[in-house]
Amino acid sequence: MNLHKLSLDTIPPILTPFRFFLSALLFGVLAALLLLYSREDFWFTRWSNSNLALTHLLTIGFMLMVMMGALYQFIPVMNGQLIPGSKKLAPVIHVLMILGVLALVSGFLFSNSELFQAALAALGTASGLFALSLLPLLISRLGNQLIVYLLRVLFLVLLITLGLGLFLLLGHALPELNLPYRFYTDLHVLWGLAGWVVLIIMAVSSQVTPMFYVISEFSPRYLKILSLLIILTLVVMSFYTVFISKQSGTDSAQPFIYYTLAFLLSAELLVFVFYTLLKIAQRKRKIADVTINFYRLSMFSLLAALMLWWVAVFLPLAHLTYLLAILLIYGLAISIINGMLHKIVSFLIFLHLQKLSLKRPEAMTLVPNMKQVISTRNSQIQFMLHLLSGSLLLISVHYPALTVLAAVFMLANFCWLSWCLFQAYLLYLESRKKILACPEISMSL
Amino acid sequence: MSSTINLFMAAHHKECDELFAQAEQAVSEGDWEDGLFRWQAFADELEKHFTREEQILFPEFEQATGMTGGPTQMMRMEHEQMRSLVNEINKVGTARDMDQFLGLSESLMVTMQQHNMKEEQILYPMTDQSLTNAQEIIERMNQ
Repeated sequence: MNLHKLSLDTIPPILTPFRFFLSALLFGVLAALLLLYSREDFWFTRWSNSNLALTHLLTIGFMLMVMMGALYQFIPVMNGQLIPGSKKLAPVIHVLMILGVLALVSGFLFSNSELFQAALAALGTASGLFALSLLPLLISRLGNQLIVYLLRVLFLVLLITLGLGLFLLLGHALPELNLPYRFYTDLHVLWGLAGWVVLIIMAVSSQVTPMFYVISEFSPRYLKILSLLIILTLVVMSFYTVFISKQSGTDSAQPFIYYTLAFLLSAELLVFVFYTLLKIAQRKRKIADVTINFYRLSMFSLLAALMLWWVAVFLPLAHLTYLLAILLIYGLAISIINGMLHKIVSFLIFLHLQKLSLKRPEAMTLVPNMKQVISTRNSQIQFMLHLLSGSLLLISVHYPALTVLAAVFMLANFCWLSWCLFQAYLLYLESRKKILACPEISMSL
Repeated sequence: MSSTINLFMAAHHKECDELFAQAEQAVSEGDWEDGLFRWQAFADELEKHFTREEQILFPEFEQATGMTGGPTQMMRMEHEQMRSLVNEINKVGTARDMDQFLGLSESLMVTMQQHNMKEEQILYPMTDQSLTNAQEIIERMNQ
């Protein structure tokens, strides 16, 4: 361990995570607007342009963008070192991500291969640069090995998901290649949702929930074994899909094997749900906290998705793919991100302002506390909007006439989140100005 | 007795967390008498933790590694941040202002956890690695 490289004062500039968070919100709003524009037609086929565009606005535009911003903030706390390029490279990655998402979504909407080429270049470069920035950490032997292990696992899964995504994108960008991209779409979705989303929630829960809610540590053995099992199952499923079912020319050639693997995966996910719910129930900090509601909603969404999938094995269910997609993307992933953003952003602002006021004793009272940055009431409204919009989305799959209403509530959900975060940032700027106006004392630290 | 400084100090962090959670819970239910009593128990334990570090652990670490201006100074500065938050909470506790109390306690909680994480992930493993008299130090801190 190189002691002299370590600093416990490593927090990136506030704009590093914030620029990712704020643009993620913009993509959330765009997704809701797209649903509002598409109306009932949205549920016509999962391969429709608007379907693919909206899915990627949420998964890359919102989810991946927030994850990147959060990693820039979180890694230094865990590891004592900034992600290399936190100051200069992060803004470049951020702009490339925005351009890439916009090009990809417009490519889907206008079926334009040039836009797909632009998306391929921008997203490929952005993810490559981000992966390179993380490499030193992934090969280091610094600090807590469990976190490095979890990050390695996440990195691998994200690499496969993005790799498959970029491969599919190549098929769109260069149609003359005639790549069987639809065939690989299911694998891309499987790795993205059962791999990336589940594993990142597992990793974040194990590190963050013991802090926020005073929960006993997650068992390292559970985390290691379960994440490994999930990845192994996904690998076997992928090999089976690519080499066996593709060769026999049909997905249903050996349904028994496929179902056995899928059953195994769902059992693993079920263990994850119950372990997480058990941990939440065992928390010692029992004070009412909206983020706990978001957490539970996320876990119950995954549980509902698993139940639906099991029922669908025996009984044909209409619109199963849509229901699963809503439960996994909007329910499992976005619920937890929504709740965490409320907590992380209020803390970031408090942290930066408090640090600023340390050398200015008169300014101590000017630092807003976390609940003044984003009030409990505003977080409660957020939860209600999220719950309502998610439920309406599920209902509108069966009653398409309600799509407009679902889209309006989804828009309200993302606009409210944007408003909460934006006014928090304005409060930061305002308080910062006041704090800086106070006289500074010299400190011999 | 814990075998490493990390285990010993991390266990004390947990003890403080639990006292904190009890105090916060009682105040949120409007039971100020019990809440403030528990709050005092937490604040005393937190101060005990800081003192152990500032007077025993950090000087030993600084002496062994020659690092006087690095991580330990940062941790001392964060202790001051937390002390000032505890003072503010004491004031709003006396005034029985629940909103302010819970807003500040939430802020203290997260500050404390971030601080603990840095210590448990980075600083304590470093002390365990660089100090050969860990057991003796643990005993001194436990007195």
